[in-house]
Amino acid sequence: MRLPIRLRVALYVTFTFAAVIVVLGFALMELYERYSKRSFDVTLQAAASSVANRLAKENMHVDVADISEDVGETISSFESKIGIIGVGIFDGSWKQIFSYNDKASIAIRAEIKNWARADDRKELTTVRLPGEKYRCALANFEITDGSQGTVVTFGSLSSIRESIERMRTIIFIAAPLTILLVGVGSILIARRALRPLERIASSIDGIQVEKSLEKLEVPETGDEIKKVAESFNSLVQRIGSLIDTQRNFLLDASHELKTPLTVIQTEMEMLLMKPGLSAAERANLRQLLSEVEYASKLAVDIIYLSRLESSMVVEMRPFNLGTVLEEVAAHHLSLAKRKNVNLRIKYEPDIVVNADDNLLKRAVSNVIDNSIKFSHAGGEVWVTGTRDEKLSAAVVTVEDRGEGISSEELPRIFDKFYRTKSSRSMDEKGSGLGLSIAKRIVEQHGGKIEIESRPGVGTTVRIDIPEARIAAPSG
Amino acid sequence: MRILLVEDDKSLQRTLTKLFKTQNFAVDATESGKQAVFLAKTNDFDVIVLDLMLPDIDGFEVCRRIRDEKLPTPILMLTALDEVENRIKGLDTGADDYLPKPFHAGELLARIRALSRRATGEKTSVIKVREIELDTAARKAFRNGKDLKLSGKELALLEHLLVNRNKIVTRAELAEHVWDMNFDPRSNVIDAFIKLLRKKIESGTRQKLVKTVRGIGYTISDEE
Repeated sequence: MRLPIRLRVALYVTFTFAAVIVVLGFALMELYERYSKRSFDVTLQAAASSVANRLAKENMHVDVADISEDVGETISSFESKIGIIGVGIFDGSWKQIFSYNDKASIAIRAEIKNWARADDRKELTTVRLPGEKYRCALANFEITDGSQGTVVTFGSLSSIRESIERMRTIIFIAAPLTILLVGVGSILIARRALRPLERIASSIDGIQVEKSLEKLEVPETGDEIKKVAESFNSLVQRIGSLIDTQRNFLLDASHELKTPLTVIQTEMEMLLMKPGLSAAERANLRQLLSEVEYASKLAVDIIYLSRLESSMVVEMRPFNLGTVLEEVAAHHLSLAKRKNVNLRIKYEPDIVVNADDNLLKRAVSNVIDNSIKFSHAGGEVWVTGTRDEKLSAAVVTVEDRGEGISSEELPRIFDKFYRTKSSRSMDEKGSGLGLSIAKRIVEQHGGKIEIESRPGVGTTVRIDIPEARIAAPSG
Repeated sequence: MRILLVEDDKSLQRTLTKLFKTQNFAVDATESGKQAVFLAKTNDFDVIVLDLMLPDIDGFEVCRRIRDEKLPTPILMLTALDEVENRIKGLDTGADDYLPKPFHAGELLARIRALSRRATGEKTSVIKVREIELDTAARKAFRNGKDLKLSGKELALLEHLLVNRNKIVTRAELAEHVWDMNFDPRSNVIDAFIKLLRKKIESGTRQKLVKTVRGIGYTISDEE
């Protein structure tokens, strides 16, 4: 599994940033070190020149105490920059005539002398002593007797090293902190930038759950997310129009079937009207006719269901549940009588449902139709209308003591064109769309339909329609 | 009974014409809405069976134009469009009944009978005058319970006379309602059929059921 994009973005940003920081840090330290050494050298040289100039102006034969004062004055302004500076002054024969701040040992003095006297000497040199390094610079001046004196200045490099160490410490602490900050920040920014994407994903999930194609709200950000949302919406629109095309095709095809089916049906009925048909011929014709009737029922139900699925408009109006149940039951009396089934109805009066009464009638009717069909002769079908206080919903149940539905078949009972084994063997075939239609209608009302069944015991279908209330007492 | 069938699907038109003929209805069929309006204006139909989808003007328009002419002929709308709105629209534009396709032949015939009854004031499909009983649904006529075994045209003749009992029915009227528009008015076919009908329903009695009104037509009355 790959990491989520926001983590990957954050890691990428953090690594890049860390690399830059490390390179920069080293470069900075290097530059700082060089700069420090350079300015140390320059200061040291300047100090030597200053002292030399000063001595050149004065007479060398003044008191050593006077020199000391002069040198101290000159040096102190340089010392403020680079720390303690040692000074040695030599005459033409390399005899030391003066020293200032000379903590350096004999060893360094000898080294300095060697370096200063060499013909091909560099301008500056570094003298190593155990535990300490000294940097040395020199300047010449003319002594009154015409010989050439030399001023040597030297300073310990430890002060530079200290400041470099300090710099390094700062960088070592600051760099990881900055990297950490950048890491956290980039996670937050990535998450924020990707949040609209998550919203898009969750509304796509919503489409799968609700089974409705709804468009996303396009954020007015003018960025890539807006583009994604817009592309998504145009995709949704395209899918929607494809589904519509498909549905319309089905609708048109079913419509077109109606007229030829009517012709076939009528012709067969006319054949049946003819006298002189043998019993076998009559039976054959009747069977053919029932197949045609089945095809007609299919066409009509397909049209009904496609129309239900295409139009989300439900014409809600309040009506009395009991009245509607009575009407539906009355509609099924002849079927019940034919099957010798007792259709019983019981309801609480004054339940007012806000729904599309025609659709609800159809839903309940389809359920009752099934219950009667699967009841045994002499059986009973109970239709009840109650109100669920907690859900404030109207509850219609249709209960039979029929053959029931096996647990394997039960989950598929609302599927389109699904017919149970026993329904397939019945004389009067249903379209296999009755319960799909009922379910669609109930769900369009925001209600739900549930079915419970035990083979050999019976089946109960429960329909909940929300927003039911008790009628206010009239008058 | 004479029916105007307006249906643009040739094969359904043929089948329904055949179906109506089994009932001895006189049928005039057309697939054009304008033609239907013209026929309805110029003939006296008992029922108009009207499909909604027509090539020129639709069924609603045909219905509206017929009603604009103040013609009271019962109209049965026949259509593949079975939405409630269409039924309401159909009934509101002046149709008397509405039957969605696909339908049962039996139901179509029953509805046509009911519509023609409504126009004539009968209540059931059985008309009884004196000892004659005509079952318009079963297409059978009885005298004192005995099947008279009438032919289709004879039944149609008898039905028209019985429905218009106590009134004088002219030959022209009989020609209109029992025969279709291909009937030749100069022929004496009507008289010949009346003669046959009389022979069957009056055989073995002295009573004259069908009376001739000289120069005008025929009548059957409740009393002798």
